[in-house]
Amino acid sequence: MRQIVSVFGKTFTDLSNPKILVAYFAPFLVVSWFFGLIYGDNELTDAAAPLAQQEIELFSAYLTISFFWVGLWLLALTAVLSANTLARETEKGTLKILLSKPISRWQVLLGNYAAVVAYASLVGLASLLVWASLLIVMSDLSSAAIPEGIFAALPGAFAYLVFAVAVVAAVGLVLSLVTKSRLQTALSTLVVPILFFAFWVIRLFIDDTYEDFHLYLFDMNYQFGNAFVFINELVGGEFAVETETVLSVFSGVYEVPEEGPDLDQQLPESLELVGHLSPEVSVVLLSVVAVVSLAGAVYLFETMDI
Amino acid sequence: MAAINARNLTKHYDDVKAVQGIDLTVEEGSIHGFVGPNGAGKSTTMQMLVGAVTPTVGEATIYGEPVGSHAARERTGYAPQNPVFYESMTARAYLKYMGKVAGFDGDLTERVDELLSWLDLDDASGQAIGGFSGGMKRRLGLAQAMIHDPQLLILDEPTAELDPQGRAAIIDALENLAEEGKTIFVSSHVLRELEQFIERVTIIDNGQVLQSGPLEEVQSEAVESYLVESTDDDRLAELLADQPSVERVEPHDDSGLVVWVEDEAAFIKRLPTVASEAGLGIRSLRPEGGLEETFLSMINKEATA
Repeated sequence: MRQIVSVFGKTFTDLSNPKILVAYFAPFLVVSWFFGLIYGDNELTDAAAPLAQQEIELFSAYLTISFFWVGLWLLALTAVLSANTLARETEKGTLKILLSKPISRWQVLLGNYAAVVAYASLVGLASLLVWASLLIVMSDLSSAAIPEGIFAALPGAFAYLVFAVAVVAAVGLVLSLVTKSRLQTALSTLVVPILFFAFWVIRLFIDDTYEDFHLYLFDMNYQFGNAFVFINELVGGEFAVETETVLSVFSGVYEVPEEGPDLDQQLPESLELVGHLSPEVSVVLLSVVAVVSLAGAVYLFETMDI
Repeated sequence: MAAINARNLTKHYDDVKAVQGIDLTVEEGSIHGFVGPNGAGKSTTMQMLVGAVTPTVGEATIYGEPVGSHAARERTGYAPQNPVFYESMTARAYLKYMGKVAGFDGDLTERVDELLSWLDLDDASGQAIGGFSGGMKRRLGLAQAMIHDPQLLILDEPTAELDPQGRAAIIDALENLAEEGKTIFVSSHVLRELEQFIERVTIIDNGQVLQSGPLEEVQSEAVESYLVESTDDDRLAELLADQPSVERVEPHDDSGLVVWVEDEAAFIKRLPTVASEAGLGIRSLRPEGGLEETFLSMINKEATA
């Protein structure tokens, strides 16, 4: 255990690279500010509205962008972080000495994986707080809406980010051992967040093709969306229909109301799930991807020549 | 028990036969040299012995434990040919990290201080490794190999690319370790330095062992020339040139004669008779050349075979 903690500590310190943080947070702030502007100026009501309405609108806006933007950008960061662990050590040659020591290779791997997940999760938490601050500052909502609008959404959003990061870090780890190259690892791991958008148009406009060819199986937006719903409902209880309506567009998990996701219209009590896969199945599928990736990484690492 | 015991150790990379069925025994407590030209398979063999590379065929043990096993690595310290460190770390932080990774049980701070002082790195212990000279990096490589106090050290070209002062420092350190009873398996192509302190040697080329055994025995088996000093070297040179066991005779740079022999036994038997019949005295007779000559002789024989 002590050896895993040592590798974890060293990797965590290496990942705390200010250049990577700047490269992450600079675009993050710009895009988040843009989303804050949209919601602050147009989508959200103001402090004069009933508190319950302010709370539900704030909750929906915060959670949706936490999934669609914060989560997505964090997955991209996770791809870069994964490339900066074992692929970097393999490229530079530092593993030659490290693995001559009496430490198991799986311990080195686990220390690296845990460091990526922990570091990306911390950055994710910081990102959620930054997005929350921007949304609060840029909207005209009453501060009384913050506890139910933001604080109630934060635990579920954070739990989802940790889950998503754990999946992508596992994929990144196995790719780093296949490619043994930082650039190739980062680019190939970025496929996961890219698959967030790849099926977006097909899903929205040619949904027959989307269903007939079971494209939802590969649609990361849908799979992670399902996981997002499952984890948030597990942590914070069921969503209000307003939240489901916004998520229907941004994740494809819910049936879009026929009149469109217009919050001013009369909405049903809750929206139906699209139901290609149940949220639980998506969580299991993504977990299987993570576990298989980790098992593959252990096998590759144990058998590879350094 | 042998510190290293390898049988039929083989490594192929696609079509490249890097190591071809090496048998190797390194006795416990000995300093064993591993000699061969570049590309002979020295580094690959050493990497197989530390578990970094998996043999295609064959097996090896370290103190009876399979190479690559946790138990084998506990007893082995390894410094690769071109050690790569975490350049932004200080030497002290690096050694501490390596000690923790190796699961060192004792007082790690004390152990690091001891190694830094022993290798004369204590003044630079707070500097980032990226700013170290080649000599300092080699010494740090030796320190990290020693961090968990292993019984066996596998050192790949520890003096390569060093200035004379740096080489002397490493050789001093290795001699100290030998006095402490450590087993040292060391490769080098600076053979004149190696022969100063090794007891046994294995010579390899093209991934195969050409010769292995005690240094003197290996050298004597490859002897082709002798250095002879007599009371009248010029006269002796004339007489030896007519002997069928002698190939040629040349004056040595300092004094005496270098005699290349075709039949070593016949030459040794005939020399005293030839000298005494001419009224000459033989002052000294010894095989000429050291490990380097032996090495070159074996490589040449292999090439012409």
